[in-house]
Amino acid sequence: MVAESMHYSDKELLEIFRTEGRSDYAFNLIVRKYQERLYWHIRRILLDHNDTDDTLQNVFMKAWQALDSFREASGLYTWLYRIATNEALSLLKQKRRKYFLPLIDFEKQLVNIIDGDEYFDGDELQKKLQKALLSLPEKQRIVFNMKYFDEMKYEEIAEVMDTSVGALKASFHHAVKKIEKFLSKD
Amino acid sequence: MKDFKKIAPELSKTNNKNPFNVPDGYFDSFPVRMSDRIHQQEKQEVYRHTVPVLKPYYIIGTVFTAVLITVVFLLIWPVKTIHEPTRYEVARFVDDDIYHYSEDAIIETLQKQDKPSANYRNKSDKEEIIDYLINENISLDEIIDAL
Repeated sequence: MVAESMHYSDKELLEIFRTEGRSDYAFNLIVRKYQERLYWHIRRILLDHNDTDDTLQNVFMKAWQALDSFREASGLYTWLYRIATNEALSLLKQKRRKYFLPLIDFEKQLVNIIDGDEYFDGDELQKKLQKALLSLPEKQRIVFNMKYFDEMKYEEIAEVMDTSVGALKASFHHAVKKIEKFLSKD
Repeated sequence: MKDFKKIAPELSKTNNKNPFNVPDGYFDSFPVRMSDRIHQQEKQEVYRHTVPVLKPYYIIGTVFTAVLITVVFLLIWPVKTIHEPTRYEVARFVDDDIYHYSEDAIIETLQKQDKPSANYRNKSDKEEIIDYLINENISLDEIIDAL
């Protein structure tokens, strides 16, 4: 069924979704098509698998509720990415509020997740890169992830983040400089 | 990300391969779990829209309102329906209808009615009055005139 979902373009999936009696089927295809990409996008922000799983479900719930009114002003793919980004950021905010943690302590907690994560397969260098990413401001980290890991175009990232390509390029450049500095430390 | 070699040589040593992993079968089972959650949510939505009417606080509220309305109705309704005769109506009744009644009936009714002293006088008081009237030889006409 994953392969089947890949056959359809976003436009075709939306057409099936709007056909009476076929919305469940179409939405299932959409979930299968985008679950992995969205999962990794959220996971790179939240790091923890369980938090990512909860957030991914919330993203698709919101998409299910709003898909009727989706008017294709943006692509389905960027629309889902935007929901995922917002959901992940709001969960981070909630956690920070819940535990009354200042920024530095919260980043330490995220570092601990990387150190103790049973679902982290990377080597030491990749672990260090993830820790370097945690030293960045959240939005800069997301921009770096989308460009470096997801290899998205600046135009696509701009649509997701609702910002200009110029601002994104500058943000990415700053992120690279900071990461390089972090990696060169020892 | 070969472009990094000049500006970020350390970063260029890393690769952009995903370092994270998921539990076995996660992506196979996720669409099914998602579908279940959507259906569960929809059931809850239907429940939330229909069942409130049957919830205890709605029932209590409805009963309370009904009782309140009944009490208010009972309190207000009699007041509104009591017809206080006007002076004109009383005068007209006396003029038009009083000849239907005999003198004895009128006297009997007046004796029963609202002289304040009659309410609390006991039987011996009444007998004293009757004895007094007989002794004084007061006629029925004089009593009516006096009333």
